[in-house]
Amino acid sequence: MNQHLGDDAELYALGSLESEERDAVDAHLAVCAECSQRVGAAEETVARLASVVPHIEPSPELGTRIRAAAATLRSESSSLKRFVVSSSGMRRSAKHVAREQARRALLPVWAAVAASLVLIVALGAALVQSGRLKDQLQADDLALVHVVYGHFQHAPLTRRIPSALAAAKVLYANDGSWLYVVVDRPAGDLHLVERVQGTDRDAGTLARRGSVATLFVRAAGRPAAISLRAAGNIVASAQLTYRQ
Amino acid sequence: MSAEPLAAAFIARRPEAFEQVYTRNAVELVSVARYILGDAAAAEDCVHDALLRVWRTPQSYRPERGSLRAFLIACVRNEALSQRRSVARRQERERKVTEGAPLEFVDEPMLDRSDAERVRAALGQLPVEQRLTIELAYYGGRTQREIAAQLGVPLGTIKSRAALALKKLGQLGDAEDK
Ligand SMILES: [Zn+2]
Repeated sequence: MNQHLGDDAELYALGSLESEERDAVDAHLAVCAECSQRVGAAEETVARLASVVPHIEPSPELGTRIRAAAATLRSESSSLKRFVVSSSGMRRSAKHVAREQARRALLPVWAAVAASLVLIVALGAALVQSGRLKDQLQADDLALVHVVYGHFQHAPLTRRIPSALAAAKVLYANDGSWLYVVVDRPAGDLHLVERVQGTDRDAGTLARRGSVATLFVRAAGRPAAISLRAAGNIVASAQLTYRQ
Repeated sequence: MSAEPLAAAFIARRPEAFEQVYTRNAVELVSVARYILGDAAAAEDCVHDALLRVWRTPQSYRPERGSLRAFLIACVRNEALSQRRSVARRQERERKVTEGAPLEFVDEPMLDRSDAERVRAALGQLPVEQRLTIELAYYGGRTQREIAAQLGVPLGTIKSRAALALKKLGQLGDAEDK
């Protein structure tokens, strides 16, 4: 038997090892009861972390599909024995890998958006607690943290010069403490101007990222209106209303 | 059937055991997968694949490893994480700008509110750097290598920090169970 797992037991349970490291752990677990126990304890802790995950009901079809597949597998059990003996547990059949690859190709783009959002939420939780990591967050990440943790409204901007941008929206905090402007396909550089208590104030230039431009602003008060300007001209604007 | 004989019956591939294991754990497993994949249909596919893989090789679960439930959650998480990572890598390669994807935030019930409170309290007792590492690994689904790169901290440091944090969380949970 080679070396015991050490910290890899916990990292394995967390699911945060690279795939080649996982394979090594699987191989060791197949022959080591002591490490199986350590991994098991870590998996219990990880299972407890699952309690903060939002709950959804599976569809009845899932039950039907799984039962049918399980019954099929069972009737094939004699031919499966070989597979079981040769496997350390988590290895995949070629057919299975092919099916997985086919399905991965179909996953919607926004699964990745959700993924990055989850990361940002995780970062945000620590950020809210420590305040130390602000520099590591890009403005857009900061905006999303506020979207996740805060209460906000949103409004479309009305275009005054249609060629200047395709569409724009503002998300803004109910208490007026921040706002986040997103512009689809701006024709050039855009400035954000906010109107607070009758006074216009330049809030900065939108940053371009791909075909989208964004700006996150911490507002001093509750802006009553915002406008986007290109070379001094108003190209789009919105009135902001507040609930309380 | 209580949890332990059920696990034994499951290893013996008794159909009624499979049925019970599914019925008992389906909500939790699908919820865990959906949290990682962000999509209910993909989550169900993931649970389907993970459960059948376990059913195919029930020996991969050894009783000394702990509860069958925790083992199944781990299997489903791994399945979901590896799917998500491969999607993320593809996105990275393509550098696609996401178009018109509406972000929806819906208030949904947690799996278990009292447990959720305890988990939050336990996380809150960790030093900030340990907590962040655990959150990036668990809720962010990042590998140790990715976390090290993201935080600019050596890989070895991140690994021991994450392992230590998880062990502490385990102890905090045990203390509260008593
Ligand atoms: Zn060992």
